Amino acid sequence: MLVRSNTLWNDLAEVQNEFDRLFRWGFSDGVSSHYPPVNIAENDDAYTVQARVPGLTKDDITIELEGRQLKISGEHKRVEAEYAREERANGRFERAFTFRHDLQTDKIEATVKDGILTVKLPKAEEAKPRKIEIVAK
Amino acid sequence: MFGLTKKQEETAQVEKTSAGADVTYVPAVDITEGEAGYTIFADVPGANKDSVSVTYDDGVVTLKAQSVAEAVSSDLIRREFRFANYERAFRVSDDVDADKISAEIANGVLQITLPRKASAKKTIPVAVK
Repeated sequence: MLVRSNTLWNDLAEVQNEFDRLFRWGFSDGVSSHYPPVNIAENDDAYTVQARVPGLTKDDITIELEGRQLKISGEHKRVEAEYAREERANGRFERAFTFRHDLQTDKIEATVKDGILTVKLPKAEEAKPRKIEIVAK
Repeated sequence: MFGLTKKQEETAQVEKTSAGADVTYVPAVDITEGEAGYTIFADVPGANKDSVSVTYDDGVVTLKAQSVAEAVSSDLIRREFRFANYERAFRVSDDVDADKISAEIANGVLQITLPRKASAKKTIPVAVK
């Protein structure tokens, strides 16, 4: 047996983890729509979505684009074993984002490296801001 | 069961601001326990082989990692996580064979294997008088 020292901070960390788990995975349906956490950047040319997906490879993640909606789904698979502690994400997830601009669907690039998923979504040409020349008459 | 140590107390505030914009997370872990020993799986996304360290000192295993992934940090319209440092420590029991602790990292998950001492499995009969 391993010794466990209980302190206030440990308890708080555990409560925090438990809350994270519940909010991520919900109470019943088993498919999380709040996972994975993402950062989204936007500039004139493109959106970039980065998601925190530790343990997943490209084969575990599905990326779909329908119009302006990006859907990221997949599943965390867990090794069969006796668990002394379970804090990491587990099970299926599906999360969707709708963007404000039309996208170039054929130019979307997605990569996953070291547990970070990066999706680049270039905006459609007509959606990009344009400078309008003022004609002096 | 695994214990957390003093180091952990210091970092247990889920996000701790240190120098600059750096934050240190307490990584989420799964720990499995079997006949052969224990395995810790820690989520350290963004970290790789060159940015993690695992140390054992006087019954305490400490993992430290740093996210070195290329982070998009300008023009953010939504931010739900940070590219951070990770640190967590575990007190391990006497039946762990410290010399045989090993670690590997893949896809942002650090796996630390803590084998039990061979002798720990032996049952010693005690003569009752």
